[in-house]
Amino acid sequence: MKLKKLALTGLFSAIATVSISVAQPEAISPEDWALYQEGINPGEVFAEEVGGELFNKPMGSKGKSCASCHSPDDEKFINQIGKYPKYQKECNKVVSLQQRIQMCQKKYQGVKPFPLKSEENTALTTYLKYIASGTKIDVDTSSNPVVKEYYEYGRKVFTTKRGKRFLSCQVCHEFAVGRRLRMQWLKPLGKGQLNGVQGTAAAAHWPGYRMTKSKVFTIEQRFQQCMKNAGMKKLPLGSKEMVALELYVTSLANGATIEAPGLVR
Amino acid sequence: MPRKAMIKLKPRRYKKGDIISVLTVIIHPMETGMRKDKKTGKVIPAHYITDVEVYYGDDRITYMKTTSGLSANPFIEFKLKVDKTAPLKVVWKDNKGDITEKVVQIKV
Repeated sequence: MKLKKLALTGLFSAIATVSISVAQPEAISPEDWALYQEGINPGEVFAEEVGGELFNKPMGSKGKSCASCHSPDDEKFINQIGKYPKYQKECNKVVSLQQRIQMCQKKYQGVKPFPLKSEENTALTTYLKYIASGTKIDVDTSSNPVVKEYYEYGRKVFTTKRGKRFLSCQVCHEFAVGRRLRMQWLKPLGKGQLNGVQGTAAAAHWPGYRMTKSKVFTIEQRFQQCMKNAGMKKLPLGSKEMVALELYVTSLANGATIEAPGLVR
Repeated sequence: MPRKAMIKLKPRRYKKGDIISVLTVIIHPMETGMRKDKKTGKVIPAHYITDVEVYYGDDRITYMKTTSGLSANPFIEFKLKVDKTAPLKVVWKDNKGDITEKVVQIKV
């Protein structure tokens, strides 16, 4: 316990000393960012070519594609996408968009659903968020007891310290906001300001193309990478904890405009 | 096996004689042949794009010799003077013999 405290204070003092010195270099400078944003985001190609193809491809015993029920131009359909993770009556649970695709596949297409880890599921999720770009995030956190329970559980997962370094999401994204870690500014995940630092509205630009990995990841896969770096045991994709955390982080970005797939470091 | 690629014209609206930007991107791993697989310890064989050719109508207007130094999913941008209605075709060839083609119609 003593060691853990010592390590934590050491970490904070290291962050503090770095933040005092002026003109710090950044992992990606603003000039470089401007250059990257001029070009085509490869995630867009992934969403349009891979995801769009899967969306229009008839599959399973019933020979149906996603496009035979949903039209990408239908506003009613598109406005639903920003509302996930959402409560589903059939299973009495809150369900993420990735899991909703699996439910649809099993029920209406009669096909073995793509696993949450697979590229196909990520492609479909990315495509759906891509066609919903421009709409607002609007997740519901208080309409019924199940949703409330998930929301509070999500906050609990967000604040629970665990792992080798005894960190939680809260340590970096609330307490240490405005400081620097690994040549990057730590920012809050919400839409508004926290301690005078503008938030990034993280949920709005996920799934995103990560330039360091040259691949598109969903927000849950990103959480797993964060957990790995923080020395925690990874929570499994689609578990109650993960969906609750996704619901909590998405609710922080309520009202932000979806811009997916985002271009992230 | 053709790969996924995308071509965009910037700006979208143009007149005859304008000089526009053509933005292209291809999804390609661009393996240098120097990297090792962390799990098996074996060298990952080189796999990268060697030629990029651009056709405007029947003419080959430009070509590029590329090497493994390019990043994964390479983005290439070039300027084009639009003076005729013709298809613009970009062809990527890699060292394993794969050929990817992508065509955009240019109308003036």
